[in-house]
Amino acid sequence: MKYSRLRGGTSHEVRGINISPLIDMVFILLIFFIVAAVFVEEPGVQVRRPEAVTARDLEKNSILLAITADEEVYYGGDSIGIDGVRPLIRRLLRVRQMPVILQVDQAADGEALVRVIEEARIAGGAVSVATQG
Amino acid sequence: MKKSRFKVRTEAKEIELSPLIDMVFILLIFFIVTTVFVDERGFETAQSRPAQELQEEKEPLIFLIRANGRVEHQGRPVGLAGVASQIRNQVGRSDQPVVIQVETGAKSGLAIQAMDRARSAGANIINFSKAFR
Repeated sequence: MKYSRLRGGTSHEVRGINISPLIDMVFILLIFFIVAAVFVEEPGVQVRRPEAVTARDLEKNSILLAITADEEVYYGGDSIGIDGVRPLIRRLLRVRQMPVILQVDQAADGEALVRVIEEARIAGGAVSVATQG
Repeated sequence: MKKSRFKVRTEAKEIELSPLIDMVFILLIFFIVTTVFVDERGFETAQSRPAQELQEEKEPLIFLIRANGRVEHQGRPVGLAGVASQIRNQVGRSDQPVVIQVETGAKSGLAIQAMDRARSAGANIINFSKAFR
């Protein structure tokens, strides 16, 4: 009688670990990541940006394009070419209005930069240029 | 009889939380994996304006970026440092439009740096354009 009551009591305590702080913490983490989540396709290539002193923070929700040193235009890990810029931006802006950020390699041909800016403008995008610092 | 009723009451008191926690954990992991922290710095290129507004504007200051890395203004080489001083010489008129013409083969890093210098000199309306020959 006494033994069984003792065992019952112990197992009851083991079953009832207080997990509410854990759930609270997980919820807080979850809310943080939901708020911080920015669904942006990264260009997927590394470029050497030019340095600039007048740079400021750019919009986080934006279309990121990269122009590499050999004049390839990248979006979301794919080379889309200069001709692919206009339809891509037009399609993305139809869903939501956001600025276009160009990550330009400093060794890239300036003419490619001008052409990509023109194409993006024709598609209706406001173009920014990414720099170091 | 009495004992079994007691048992039912204890079961009703403990809500099963594990599926909730599982789901929250799955959501948490999803958001951790998909979160991209975009931290881009740079500057905007000027928006193109309606034609009638352009007519009211003054003649733009034109800087030509040559393929050999020289920066020219009105046919004279002024260098990257000359961009800011030429703009400041226009008696600080910040609404003076500046056009940076980029020759084929010129480095885009130089063009962006020229734009940066123009911005630091107080120019507000700066545009890239192709060099027409």
